[in-house]
Amino acid sequence: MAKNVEYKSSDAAVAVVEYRDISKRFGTSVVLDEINLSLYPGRVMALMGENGAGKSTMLSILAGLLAPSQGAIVVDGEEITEYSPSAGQASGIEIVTQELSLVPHLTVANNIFLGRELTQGARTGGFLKSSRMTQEAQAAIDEFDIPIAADDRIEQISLSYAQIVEIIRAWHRRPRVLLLDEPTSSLTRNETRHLFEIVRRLRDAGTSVVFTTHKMDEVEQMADDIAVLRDGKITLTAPIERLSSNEIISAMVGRELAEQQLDLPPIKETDPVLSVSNYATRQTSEGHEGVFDFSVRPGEIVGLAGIAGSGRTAFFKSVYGLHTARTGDVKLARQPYTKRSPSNSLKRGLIYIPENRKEAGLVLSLDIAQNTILSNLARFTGPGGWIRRGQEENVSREALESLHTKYFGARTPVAALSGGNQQKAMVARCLIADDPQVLLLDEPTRGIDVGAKADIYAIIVDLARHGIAIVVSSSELPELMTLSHRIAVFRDGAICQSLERDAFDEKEIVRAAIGA
Amino acid sequence: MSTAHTETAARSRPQKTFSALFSRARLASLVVWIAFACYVVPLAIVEPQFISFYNIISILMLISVYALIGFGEGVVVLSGGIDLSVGSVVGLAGVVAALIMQGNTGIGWALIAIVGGVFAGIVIGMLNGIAVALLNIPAFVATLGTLSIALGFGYVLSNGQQISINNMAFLDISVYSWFGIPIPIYIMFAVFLLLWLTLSRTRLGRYVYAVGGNIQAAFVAGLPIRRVLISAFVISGALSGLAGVLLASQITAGIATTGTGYELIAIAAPVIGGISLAGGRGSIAGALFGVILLGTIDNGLTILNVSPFYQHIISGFIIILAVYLDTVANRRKLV
Ligand SMILES: Nc1ncnc2c1ncn2[C@@H]1O[C@H](COP(=O)(O)OP(=O)(O)OP(=O)(O)O)[C@@H](O)[C@H]1O
Ligand SMILES: [Mg+2]
Repeated sequence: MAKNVEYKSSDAAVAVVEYRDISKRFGTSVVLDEINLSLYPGRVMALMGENGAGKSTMLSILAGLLAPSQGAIVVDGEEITEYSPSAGQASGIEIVTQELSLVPHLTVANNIFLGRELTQGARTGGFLKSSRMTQEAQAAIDEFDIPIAADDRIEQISLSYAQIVEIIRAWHRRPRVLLLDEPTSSLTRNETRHLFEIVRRLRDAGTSVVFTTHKMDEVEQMADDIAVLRDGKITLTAPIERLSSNEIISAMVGRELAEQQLDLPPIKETDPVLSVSNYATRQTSEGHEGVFDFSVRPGEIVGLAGIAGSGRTAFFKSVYGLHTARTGDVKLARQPYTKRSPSNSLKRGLIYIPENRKEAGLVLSLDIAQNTILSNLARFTGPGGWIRRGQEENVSREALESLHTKYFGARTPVAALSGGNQQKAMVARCLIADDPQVLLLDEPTRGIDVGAKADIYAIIVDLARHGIAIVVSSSELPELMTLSHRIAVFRDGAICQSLERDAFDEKEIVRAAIGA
Repeated sequence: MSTAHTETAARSRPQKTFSALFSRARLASLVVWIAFACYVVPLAIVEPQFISFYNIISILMLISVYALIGFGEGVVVLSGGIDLSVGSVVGLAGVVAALIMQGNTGIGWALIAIVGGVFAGIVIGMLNGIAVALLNIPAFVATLGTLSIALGFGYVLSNGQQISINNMAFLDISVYSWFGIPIPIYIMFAVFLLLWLTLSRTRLGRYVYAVGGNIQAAFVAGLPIRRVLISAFVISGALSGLAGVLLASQITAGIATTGTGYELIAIAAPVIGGISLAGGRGSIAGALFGVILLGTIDNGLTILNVSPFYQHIISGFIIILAVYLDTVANRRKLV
């Protein structure tokens, strides 16, 4: 059992908020079990734990998105009585949720001011001061140095910018307590750096910040204190100076994780199974077409690096057949593949796992088993179109368990899974695909805890060993460097450089990705 | 600061020139307008009476009732719901107004009748709002229920009879005109202006869009979701009530079934005008455009002596076509 140090950040400090004996149950499953924790002004706390440990639930209760089943939140020494988002905001608590909470059809400025509109006259009937809000929002955006405009609509900007907009929104309200639920999971390094600068500034101004992450280096950079959750209980709280990362990890998983050595299988010396030539997904900003060639052989793992918006997702989607490419030819197993569509791709063993699990990956209203086998229903369908439910359950359970997914029964809806476990359900889907040839994985480990990441790497390598070609994009360079035979770097919609494993060089890849 | 601002804006939109102006969204609504023109222009040449002042007024008169319920429906759809009870409310409001005026002449009673009719609509709207926002009943089901309830009350109150109206002040509403334009047309435009301002310029309007666009996000942002939903349904109820009153004045009677089937037009108009049935996207001007389109087509077909039976078929195709153009316009683009 990990140690549990009771401490105060400084003797003079008084907690801004406290969790007092908080428990949370969903039906019969206990998600939080008598949590006690204090947050102090001017401190940044990293909340760590495996997928499904209860981190998001903890933050949601503090922000008033969920009410606890037992216990109470104490603000400034007083138990609060009402759990609602507006009550949370009234106490100065702002949250950036793990899944985006923005209104897609509204502009960035409208979203930043949502619920806090500047008006003249009466509160609800009053007229909005639109231009004032746009100006202020633009000023806030400029602090983060990202190329979006305050009057862009959310649906027009990329996922990572949308994530930043959420952070800007919370920050703009000058909270006393700022809760960030995996804020960096869709950010690039540069954006992460900006975020951390802002967090430091807030902290120095006395804000109490809590963030969750699965990345150890971020914890070391950013946190003053650590709290670790395991199965709904706090297993460790301590200032960061007193901890080693091994201690943190063992408090998270309850065991020491063996240092992982990936043994990449040899690439089959055959023709590529997937190749594209003269390919372009979009017009580059200068107006010329950035065409490129790309291929992957059976058993090969190719990593795609690049900054957010560099065109990796567009590449995947156009090859898979979700969108049309601007120009170029695709060959799959030496046959030209022109009529590209998801169902044709699946028939030919080309599988794509999208980065945005909510939007493109999972059917939230269906249960876990149904989602896992969704693309392979034919295999589980008997004569007359009847689905073999028993088989469906067994196979999906097997796939989910090989990823250590935490869930309460194969028949619970996917919406009730924690973020990281939803991601696992998506990966599980491709594990049970029929005779896969090529896997396109877009950020497969986003939001996945350290232990499960290792599982996913092992599974990817294993699939490669069986002769499957794998193309994986990730915003984490170290991950790509451990996992890939070769890394292709995307910039402005095209591949601008390609490196073999023995020539991997982090600096060079970053330079290629940003075009410096 | 301001230079930094423009720089950022410029970076985000490299080609905000030609291609942006003719983005697909604009193009599609352009297509609807062109199709509309292709219908109106030849018709005006063949049948000049089609664009006579008199005919334009009669088109506007015809659509003033549709427009009011279309506006209300538009607000509900923007908030992410749907209101099927509007047609029944039209009938109920007419009956209530007619009952109030039975044997009561004079402008005072006319005013009370108007208020009574609108109030009946507000009550039904309130019921809808409570069912949806507080009891979490899906809007489709809740308003299907109130459709029947309102119709039933209309029958009960009128005893299944048509209640004729003799109050001259009330009947004057649809006869009297200022500068040659009948009062209902002024009412339609006044309501339009009010709603347009509310939706685009006020906090309530912004919340309607937010709740319809992403209710989870609205929740996290701490918006008063229930109040917003109830307001949307009450607006719809009140406007349907007003429409019922105007219609009663036109047909000089309160009849429980006058509005039956109007929900089709009420829903079609905003949708044709680009308000998304998924909620959160579109403008109330779209609802106005939608009713104008439907009204003009009906009127034109009448002038061309096309049987009303065919008119239904044609309207149906037009609704599907317009919505198809809308989906083409909003197809997701590449990330
Ligand atoms: N609405 C719900 N109904 C039922 N169970 C739920 C619900 N929401 C969350 N859970 C369960 O509660 C547990 C904790 O979920 P939570 O989202 O807090 O995990 P987490 O620590 O944030 O994980 P991750 O790292 O994957 O984001 C999970 O096992 C999840 O399945
Ligand atoms: Mg979480």
